Amino acid sequence: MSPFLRRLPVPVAPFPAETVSPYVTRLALANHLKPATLADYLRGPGTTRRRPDPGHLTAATGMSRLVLQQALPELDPHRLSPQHGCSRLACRFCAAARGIYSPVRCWAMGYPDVCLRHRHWTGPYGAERRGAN
Amino acid sequence: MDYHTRLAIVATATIRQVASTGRRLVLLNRHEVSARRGLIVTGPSGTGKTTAVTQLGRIHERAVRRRHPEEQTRLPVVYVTVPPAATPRVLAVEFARFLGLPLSTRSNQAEVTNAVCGVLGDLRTELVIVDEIHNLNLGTRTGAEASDQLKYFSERMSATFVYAGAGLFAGPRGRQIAGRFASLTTAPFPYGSTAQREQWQALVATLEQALCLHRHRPGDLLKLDAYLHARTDGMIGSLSHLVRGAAIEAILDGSEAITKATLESVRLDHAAELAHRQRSKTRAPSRQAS
Repeated sequence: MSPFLRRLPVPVAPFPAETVSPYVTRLALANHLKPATLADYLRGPGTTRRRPDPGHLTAATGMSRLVLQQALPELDPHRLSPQHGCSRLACRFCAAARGIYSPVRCWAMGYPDVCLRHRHWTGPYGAERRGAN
Repeated sequence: MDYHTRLAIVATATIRQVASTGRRLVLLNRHEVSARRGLIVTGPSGTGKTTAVTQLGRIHERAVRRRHPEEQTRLPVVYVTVPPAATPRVLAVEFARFLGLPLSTRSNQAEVTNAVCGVLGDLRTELVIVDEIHNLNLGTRTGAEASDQLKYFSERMSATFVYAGAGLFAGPRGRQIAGRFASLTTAPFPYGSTAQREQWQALVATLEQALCLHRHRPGDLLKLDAYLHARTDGMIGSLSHLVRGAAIEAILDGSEAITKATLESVRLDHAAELAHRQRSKTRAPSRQAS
């Protein structure tokens, strides 16, 4: 944990297998900040990296590194398997059950286009799907 | 020794009055949409203004946490200090710093203000304490704008505002504040009548009870109450500094007891020392005359 960074006033829990960038956006909006401002802050000064520094993210969210690595696979390079190749929208019912009412993007695992728990199609529809094919 | 650097905070009549008035105002303002009433604690330095308002904050925070233990992210009390020559943006950044909001140097005043008000609303803040309010100079344009910023904050946030510092009632903005803020004045402890002396002795006795020195006999400090009043001019801040300083001195020299000599060795703030010297001078000729 970075000793120089303080915890953000409104903590936001990550969704399982969530992608980092949309998570940082959700975190910024919950704290009434511009996503770009928070992303710069989490990357740290004078760096060219694209992803936030795990230590900075740990300090800002108040969550342990282990918890964040389990929820955000991008923070742990060993956990990114080939099936993490594409991201998709998470089931909105699963998200709402966690108190999240905005779209959540997460890494595709298992059945990428359907939520088996809620029997809900999460993949693309109509023309969007045909374009994808 | 670390214990004596802090010692106990004595619940004086002023602290009790500020705490009860503040708590009452928070409850009264709970459903107000606008024009919420506030509290301003004024008085000379060293009379316990900051201690009184921080105790009010502590009491309110503990009451809310006890009542809603499940709401861990709630922030019932905010405490900020007005920096010298504060501009409206600096004032907003001071709130953001208290909250731990990261803001870039490019963020303008409106962005900072919106972020602060939004977060404070989400965190359900009920009490905002603004200390060192006399740093706002209403005679200057910047000071007047910063005062307007505080007024804007009080309109945007559904919280009760408590100011601590010297008076803010000059000019049109001062009159606006005076119309909405109840005022409580802190003053040095008087030492005239028997009741006043008893009040001072009770204060000294409370501080003495909090001491943790091996060879200090209970009552020794109380016997020096007149001397303590003369040294500190009745200022609770100076008294606390004197007793704590003497206790640390007693530990350092190994005597483990506070005597008049130990108290003499502690230097106080300039105002208290000056008042003590002037009083000694006026007493000396009268003694010679008698």
